[in-house]
Amino acid sequence: MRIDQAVNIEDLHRMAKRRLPKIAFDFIEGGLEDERGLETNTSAFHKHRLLPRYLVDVSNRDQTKTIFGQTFASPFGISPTGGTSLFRDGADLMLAEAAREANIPYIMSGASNASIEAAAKIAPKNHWYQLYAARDHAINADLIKRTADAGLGALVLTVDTPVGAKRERNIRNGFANVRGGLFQALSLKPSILAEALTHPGWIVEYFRRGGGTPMLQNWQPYAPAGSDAEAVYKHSSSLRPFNAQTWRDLESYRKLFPRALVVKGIMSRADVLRALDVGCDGILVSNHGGRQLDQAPGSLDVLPAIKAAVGDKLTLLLDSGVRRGGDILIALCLGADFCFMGRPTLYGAAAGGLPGVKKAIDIFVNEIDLVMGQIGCPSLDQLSPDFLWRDDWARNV
Amino acid sequence: MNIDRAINIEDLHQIAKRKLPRVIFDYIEGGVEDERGLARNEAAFHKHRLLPRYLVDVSKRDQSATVFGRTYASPFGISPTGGVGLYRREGEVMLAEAAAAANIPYIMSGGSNASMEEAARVAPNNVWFQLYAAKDGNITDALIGRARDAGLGALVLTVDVPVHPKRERNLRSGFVRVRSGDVLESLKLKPSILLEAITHPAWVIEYVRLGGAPSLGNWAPHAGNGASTADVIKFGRGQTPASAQTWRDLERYRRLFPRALVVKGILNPADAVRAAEIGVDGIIVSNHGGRQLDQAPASLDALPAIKAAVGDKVTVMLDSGVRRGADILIAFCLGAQFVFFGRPTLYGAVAGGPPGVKKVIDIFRGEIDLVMGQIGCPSLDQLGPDFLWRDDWMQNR
Repeated sequence: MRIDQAVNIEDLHRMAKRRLPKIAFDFIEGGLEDERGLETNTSAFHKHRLLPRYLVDVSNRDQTKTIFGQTFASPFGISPTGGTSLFRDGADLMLAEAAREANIPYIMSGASNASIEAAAKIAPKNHWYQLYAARDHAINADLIKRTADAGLGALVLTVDTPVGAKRERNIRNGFANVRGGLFQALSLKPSILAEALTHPGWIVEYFRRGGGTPMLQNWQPYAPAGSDAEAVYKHSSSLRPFNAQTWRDLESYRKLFPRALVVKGIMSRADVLRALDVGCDGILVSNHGGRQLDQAPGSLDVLPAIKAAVGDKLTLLLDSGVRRGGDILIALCLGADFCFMGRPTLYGAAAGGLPGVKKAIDIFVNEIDLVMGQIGCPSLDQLSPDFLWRDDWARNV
Repeated sequence: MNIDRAINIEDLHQIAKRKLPRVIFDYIEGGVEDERGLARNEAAFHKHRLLPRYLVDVSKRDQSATVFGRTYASPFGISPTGGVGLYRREGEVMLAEAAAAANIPYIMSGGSNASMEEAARVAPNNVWFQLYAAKDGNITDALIGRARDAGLGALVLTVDVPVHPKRERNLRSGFVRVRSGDVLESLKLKPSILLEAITHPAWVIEYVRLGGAPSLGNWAPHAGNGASTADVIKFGRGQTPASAQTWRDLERYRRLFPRALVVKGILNPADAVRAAEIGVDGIIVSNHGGRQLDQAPASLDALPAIKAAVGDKVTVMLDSGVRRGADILIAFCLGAQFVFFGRPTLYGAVAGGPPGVKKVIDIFRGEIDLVMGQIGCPSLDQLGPDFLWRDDWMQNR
């Protein structure tokens, strides 16, 4: 199948799976432990039904959405995904470029391979940065300053990685060896290496890039001078996760960053209220795509309680499990202002580079457009719980 | 299997599947996006149980039902299905004749290949016309005028197609080429699709012999003099969907059509109330057989709330997911006054032409008769919620 033949995100998913060695694809795909969280996330959307209203003029449908004072062309953006050059060389900048073209936000991962400054050059108005805080406050202060100086619209602090997650696929595959140099990668299990050889397109790209782990360009300035990619990776991971980070630290970030500050990964009402107290602008309700706590609720499931707690005082964003345009509209009905997705655009990048990312975005844009028409909702500000079916209505009355 | 040996609708479904190329069968069979709606529609019936009453004299059972002042021999009719001629030449005439012979209503699709005048000739008392409004209001009005002048008993406005849906099977197969009206277009299908089609030689020979897809009989008179089949199809596709259609238009249709006006595709109780206020005579609660909005509730689930909202002010009918006689009785218990199905009679037409359609009607009629006897309900007006089991009765009290 070619990229232009893909009709939905699942098609891109399958194409990405074929192109990548299992060890790399499993890193994208995996959850942790028993991976129940992956199913929790997608089924949270499938529990809902949309109740259409007909004979509404839907000949013009407007899916633009304004958050943090900026109007985007669609109500979704690209969630941060780390280490993307391993899946497609240069993927971070492809994501940035596609986001600019589609006028949607792109959140660069704290574990990106490209730098904040490089993406800011490509997508000055569509680029946000996601911070994985380091144990060294000076580094955090510098990363925040760089984000501010590069003119980025928002800083997104991820709080749901206080510890490394037990991602069992990666443990079994020996994924950590991929983070070392080429020779360490060659020490992988023979079966893993043999499987990788059946993906020659990826192998060629891997060697063309020079083999080994791709550089974490944002962290390079903090590693000893002359460090290679492996050394920068080791240095960066020695500083993370910052498990002693508390609300006090968030207060200090708030003072350092002048524009929108978003906290990503919050699932509890109490935490949301506290983030509001600290003066954050937004919350990205997320369970990290089911990659941090297998027993976590679906982010869509916790959204209504969070919306009830904060009302309009915070901008509510959501990710984890979004695979269809209809999913985004359901989240908006339940109180989200904006949605994000990480794997879909990564599938696009892995499957087809920049055109693949654009395809993933187009699929969502078109699905949103059709479902808005189908339910009789020509503009997003009309979405509300009234568009959601309630199971108790099916009861015999 | 021979159609004489078919004992239920599923048998005819299997026979039909064998007779048609996959690209054609998929058009009948498919839903939209992930096709969750298909399973949801059938599951909605399977959730219900009938609670029999015994020692009732059921030696005589009457399944006749009266709607819009006319008594039909059974409480069901044939839902509109478009382009039947593509599956079986003269398919719509077969449906009309079978409906007349069985004394049930047949709703001719606005996207049919035969014209409403042809159907009215063979079944003057049993044909209703389903309107897909045109973007050009004058054409819509002309279609309504034709339905009026042909003496059809009811005009059924379908409102649940404000946009063309994302039917992924058709996108993948390239179905639109097969339906274009130009046989050469079909040769541009993927080789694998063409090869599969050739394993159904009877259908292919007929298709080629008749020069590709049949015309759209209801649209042809409005497409201009000398319009080719392909032109008519392009014209009909170009005039639909009427995304700007609103309740104001329905008010106009009400003034134009003197007999029963029915709105099909309503799922929202508020829409049902609004239709009643405009003075329509009936509504068909429907989600278009799961073909328009994958996130829509099942029509059977939507029925109780709609019935509660409109009471007896309009005739409440239903389709989507009906595959057994008992399904029809369950819908009656929940407030439906008449029930329709689309795919089953298509299966019959494809599987065996006129005897196949008759077989389908006989199967439903036989199943209704037996279940009425089995639950102790000799006439349909006795049906009500009392015949339905309630899950909470299972709880230990």
